[in-house]
Amino acid sequence: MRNIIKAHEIAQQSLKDQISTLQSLHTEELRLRDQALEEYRIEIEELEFEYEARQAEIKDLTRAEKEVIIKEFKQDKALIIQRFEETYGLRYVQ
Amino acid sequence: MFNNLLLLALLSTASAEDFTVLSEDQPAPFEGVLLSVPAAAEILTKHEEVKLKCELELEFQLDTAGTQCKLDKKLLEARIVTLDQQYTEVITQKDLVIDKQQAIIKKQASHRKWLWFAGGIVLGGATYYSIQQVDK
Repeated sequence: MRNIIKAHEIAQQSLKDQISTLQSLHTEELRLRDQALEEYRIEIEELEFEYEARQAEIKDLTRAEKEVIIKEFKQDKALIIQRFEETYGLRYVQ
Repeated sequence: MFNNLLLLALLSTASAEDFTVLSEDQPAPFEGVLLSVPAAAEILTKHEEVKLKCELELEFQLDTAGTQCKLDKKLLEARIVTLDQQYTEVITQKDLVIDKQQAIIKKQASHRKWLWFAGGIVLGGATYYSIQQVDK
């Protein structure tokens, strides 16, 4: 009887140890998960910031290019003809 | 905006079509659409703008997918490490319990062995004595 109780106590202690270890492993996994999520959030934020900055850059570039074309037209009409030919493959007729 | 895109699409597909440049009050050599210089500039720049935006969108989507993939990998790695350690812990604890319980069984078995031995001697002696008594 005493041995049965002892065997039961051993099993009980083992289960307690397992639970304690599993809890610490779970906590560590949660820490790693939170860390990964935080890194992901920062990276996505940076990507979005860069994306928006480049979109604005494209917009500015387009606006500047438009002004150049308008200015070019006033100075030399041949340039706008060349642009249409090169960009869309259109054929210029007099 | 939509009209510009429509025109852009039409122009993109109509390759080697005719166009001309006119001054004010100059007669047109053929029937067609006359654009103001800013409208023409809009069409010319739209082509490059759309191309750049497409490249940017592609790059952004790829980077986002890459980041998502990296996150998934990290989460899976964390799960694997935890499961691996859990497995090791459970096996270690089971081995420990088995060892300890085996020790208890061994200890108990040795005690019973002597009990059975003593019981056998007593029983044998009693049987021998009984047979002798019956013979008399």
